[in-house]
Amino acid sequence: MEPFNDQATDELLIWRAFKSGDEAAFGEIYRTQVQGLLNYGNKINPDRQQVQDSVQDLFIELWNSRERLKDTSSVKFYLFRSLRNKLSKLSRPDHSFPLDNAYDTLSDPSVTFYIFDHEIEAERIERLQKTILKLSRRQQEAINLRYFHDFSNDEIAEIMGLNYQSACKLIYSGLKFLKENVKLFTFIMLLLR
Amino acid sequence: MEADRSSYKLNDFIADDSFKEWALGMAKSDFWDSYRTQYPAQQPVVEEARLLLLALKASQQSREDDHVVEAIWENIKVGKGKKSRTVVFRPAFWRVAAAAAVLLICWGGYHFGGRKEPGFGWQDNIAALSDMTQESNTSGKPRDVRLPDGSMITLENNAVLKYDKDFNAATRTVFLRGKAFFDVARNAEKPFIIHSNGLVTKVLGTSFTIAADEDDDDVTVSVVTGKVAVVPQDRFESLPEKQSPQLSGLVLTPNQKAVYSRESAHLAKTLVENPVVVDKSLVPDHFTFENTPVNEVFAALSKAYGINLVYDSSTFQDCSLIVALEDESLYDKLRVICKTLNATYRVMGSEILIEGKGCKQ
Repeated sequence: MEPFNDQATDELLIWRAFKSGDEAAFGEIYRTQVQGLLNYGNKINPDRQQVQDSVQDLFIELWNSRERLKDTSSVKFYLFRSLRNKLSKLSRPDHSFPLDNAYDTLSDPSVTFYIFDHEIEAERIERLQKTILKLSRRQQEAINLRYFHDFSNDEIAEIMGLNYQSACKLIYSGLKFLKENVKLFTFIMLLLR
Repeated sequence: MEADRSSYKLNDFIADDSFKEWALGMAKSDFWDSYRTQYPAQQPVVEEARLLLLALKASQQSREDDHVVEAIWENIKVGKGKKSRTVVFRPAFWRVAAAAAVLLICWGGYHFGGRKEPGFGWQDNIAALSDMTQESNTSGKPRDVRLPDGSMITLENNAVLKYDKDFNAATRTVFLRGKAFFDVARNAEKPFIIHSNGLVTKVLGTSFTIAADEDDDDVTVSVVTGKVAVVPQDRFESLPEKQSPQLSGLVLTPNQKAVYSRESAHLAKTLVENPVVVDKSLVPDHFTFENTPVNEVFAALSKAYGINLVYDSSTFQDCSLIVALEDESLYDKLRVICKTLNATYRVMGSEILIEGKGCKQ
């Protein structure tokens, strides 16, 4: 909550170094942000190649326009918003980020290997992943931004180009669905044992 | 200004930023630390919310390969030198080349030795381990082998099983080549661990089949009873509690099958070819249904076979069935039911999806 905690100060210093042409700082920004950006990009666009190309172009443009950039309180937020703009421009011909689930089959959960979290059975995560795929694309995106990338509702609204109420609605309706359906699955599993 | 958190419901916890940060270990909070003791009745909900948050976070996890990250960075370095906004074309062959290199390394690893981790391959490291008891079968018919712990292994033709003198000391570790059926004696203290062609299977006490022929691309594990966890060899090596009785990895229950592709290192869960009834006591009168709502029929099948049937119960709420099913396989049973209902079924991962239009007039 404090505007200038250590992490934010470090980030600002690195950002300023980058703006003044420090290549090491630029590399540092790339390395801290690239996995998160690819994760998010792949969640909203099924074409992994296109996502990688967009991240690449994003950083090239970032470097080339560095002198014109303002200080930012969150580099991550700035990059996520820019990446989304890029990707939605790319997919505009066929309506940007459709609400339907046309792409959902691409991320078939049964063929992914799950990261272990020792507290949670892989089973439970798998059930959750399957249920998440039943949400609309935009609900999935909002859940990803909030619970994986830790953005606030305000930031999510801005990244997704929505007003605050709509963003909150997306998240809560998504959560409600997950809660009801994941619970249901747990219940079924209990009956089986 | 603070909302009354004493009556928080699951959704309220999940939506609360300070709770999220605490639950995910991102921030310390005296408030949430003491919350559970202060409101003991809330404890189950807090736990449920915490686990849901952890699962939500884990469910979103992904990591791009380092070589992709490096390739993008190389292109950024090239692209940023140019004054104009250039789109750097990264030829597809670059990626193909990178992928081929990775494959070649794995393949080379398999064929030209260099296997240091025990159990990663078969010949080299197993031969290197001395004091191994070897059981093999070249008789042309299945052969039963009883292990010192009481477990019974049925080796198919050409299967080889090895274990060292420490078997049954702290753990029960064996190495398998070929196909075998395991009926493992239950011992929750000493996990039974099977290494087979890059896949590690860990169980406490149960029965299942492993097929790990050296010539096959896939290793499969099919569960008959109990619970089994499988994990690729390289991940197994990095697990902190690999010898502990805790089961982590892809957990399989009866009638489920894991297919591990040695080439792509993908592990997928599906159903065995012919699911069997897991609990005879749950079979309702030999599957004879008279004017039974079809949703109840589905629920009965689901319970009897331990397989999740996914269907929209509101679609089928007006459907009833008169049907006597007995010795047919599960899939034949479903075929009969679906034909009657004008519905279809298909296996999706380890579940069966049933779709139809229902029976409204």
